Amino acid sequence: MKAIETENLRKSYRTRVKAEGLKASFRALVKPEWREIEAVRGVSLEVEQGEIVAFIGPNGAGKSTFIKMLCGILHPTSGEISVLGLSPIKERRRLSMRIGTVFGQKSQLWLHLPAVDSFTLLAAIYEIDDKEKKRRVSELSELFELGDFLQTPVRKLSLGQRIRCEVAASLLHEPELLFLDEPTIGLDVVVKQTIRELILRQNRERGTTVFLTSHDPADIEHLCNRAVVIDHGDIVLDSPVEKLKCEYLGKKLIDVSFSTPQALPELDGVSSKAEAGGLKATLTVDTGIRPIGEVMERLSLLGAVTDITISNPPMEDIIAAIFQREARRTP
Amino acid sequence: MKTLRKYAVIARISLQNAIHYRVATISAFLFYTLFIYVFTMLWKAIYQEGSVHGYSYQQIVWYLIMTEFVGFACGTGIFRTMNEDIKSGSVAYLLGRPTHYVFYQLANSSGQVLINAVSFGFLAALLGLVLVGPLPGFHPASLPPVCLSVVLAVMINFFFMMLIGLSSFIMEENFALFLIYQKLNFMLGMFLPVEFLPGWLQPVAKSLPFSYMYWAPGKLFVNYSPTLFWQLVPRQAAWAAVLIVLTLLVYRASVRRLQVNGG
Repeated sequence: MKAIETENLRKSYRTRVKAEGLKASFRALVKPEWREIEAVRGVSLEVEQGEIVAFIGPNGAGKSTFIKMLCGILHPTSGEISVLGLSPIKERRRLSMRIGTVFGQKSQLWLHLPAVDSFTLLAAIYEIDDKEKKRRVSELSELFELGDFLQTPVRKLSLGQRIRCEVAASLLHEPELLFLDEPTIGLDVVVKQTIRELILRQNRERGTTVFLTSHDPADIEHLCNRAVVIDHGDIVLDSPVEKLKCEYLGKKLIDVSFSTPQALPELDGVSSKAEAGGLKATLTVDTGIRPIGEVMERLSLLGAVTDITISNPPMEDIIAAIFQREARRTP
Repeated sequence: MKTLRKYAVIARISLQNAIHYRVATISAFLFYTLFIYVFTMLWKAIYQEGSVHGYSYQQIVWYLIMTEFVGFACGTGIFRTMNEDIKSGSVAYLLGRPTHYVFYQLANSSGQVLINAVSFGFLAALLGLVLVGPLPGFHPASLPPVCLSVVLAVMINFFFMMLIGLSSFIMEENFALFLIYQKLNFMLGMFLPVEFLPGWLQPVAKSLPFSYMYWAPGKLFVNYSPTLFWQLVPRQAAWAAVLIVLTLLVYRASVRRLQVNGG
């Protein structure tokens, strides 16, 4: 049985359109105009159990709509869906017992109450008895290191602590499939890494299938085995992450500042852009051609380095590169 | 059994949560007191002439205390909560759970209603006793049937508010519906008993569900008799049942058309 199977899945909805100005407002009052928007256009996708799949695309590409259809929250306009062998529309409640969700920008916890109260509520909702609830809460508390703040009202937690509680809450009923919609949004680098490790452990130890959307290339690089890229409601690329790493994720950005203007060395696999009369520079390194350590070494040899940061190119740039290459491949 | 336990825990957690809104409760207490005081003075002036439409001065003040108690203490913010959930997209969490959305919201509101009912109950009794003295002819035995009438009134109000809230699944702006609903309540029992309306309007008001939210428990409280109970409470129960069924039907239809913000 596949974890997810969709066949020609579509979702369209109507939205009101109105031209600019007062006159148009009155006209819209009498005769409203509507525009049909196709959020998902015939997506066919299969995900095996135990896979960690990244579902990426620009804002408005249809990622969240697709996930919400898989969870049974939104009804598709047409097409077939099967999640863990169940129909999300006809068997939503049965399916919800077996899936977990984290919508990174929304909270499922009660803000004024300690997270442990929300866990009690979720345990009741998922029909977990008291003994089993205690066992799971203590296990998750240990795994996610929640002990110190489990009794603190959620509104007083930091974002990182809250997200740890959110992910733990979504795992309380031991779901077979976890949908994570931007789980690391707004978190600092250290907390992001913690969340990734926890998700990976869940996948390795329990075989949980993970379906993830993210704008952070590092999430995809460190967590996923497969990446599916969606744009305008349609899949444009379905590739193993290893391949994606070689082709698109292998690039790193180095931002460097100097105390005196410097001329940058010319290296294969490195493109550079000097700013502020040679006091600052941004280097794009293709790590497949030249290891990042070597570039750092060459920069330090220049002397006078006052600041240096390494980062991933923004997801938007990676997606743009994917689109360009895919457009070239399809005549 | 597990299903019942599920909704009982939701109600308990919502009660725990409601305790945190102390400032809101205290402001509502002050507003309620001011409201009752102003109207008591108004009725005092009107009642220089004796009884009006069968209600004595004391009865009309107690009537107002009861209807405002239903409004203040037992009204729920469910319509606003639902609108916010749709606008923020948090509705996605609630719809993805193994609970029925409508009953989740009912259980979730009941905690707030329960804590308000108890605290406002004391305030209402105190205000009545201080302003006009004990309600003439009141007998403690009438309290359980009156409480039943209040519970049904709360249910009718909840499902009306839920219906307005559900409209946000398909409408961008539904505040106008709430305003119409609120004004109908003001006119059909909240401020004035239905008997104060023009003769031709009274049968119309009595055939609509709005009067059974305020007028029915208010009238039953100030003028309790078993005959009146059997006249009013079965109608309240019938309207509550109609509204529950209607809410479930509208939910089923509107959830298909739901558009969640942020995807």
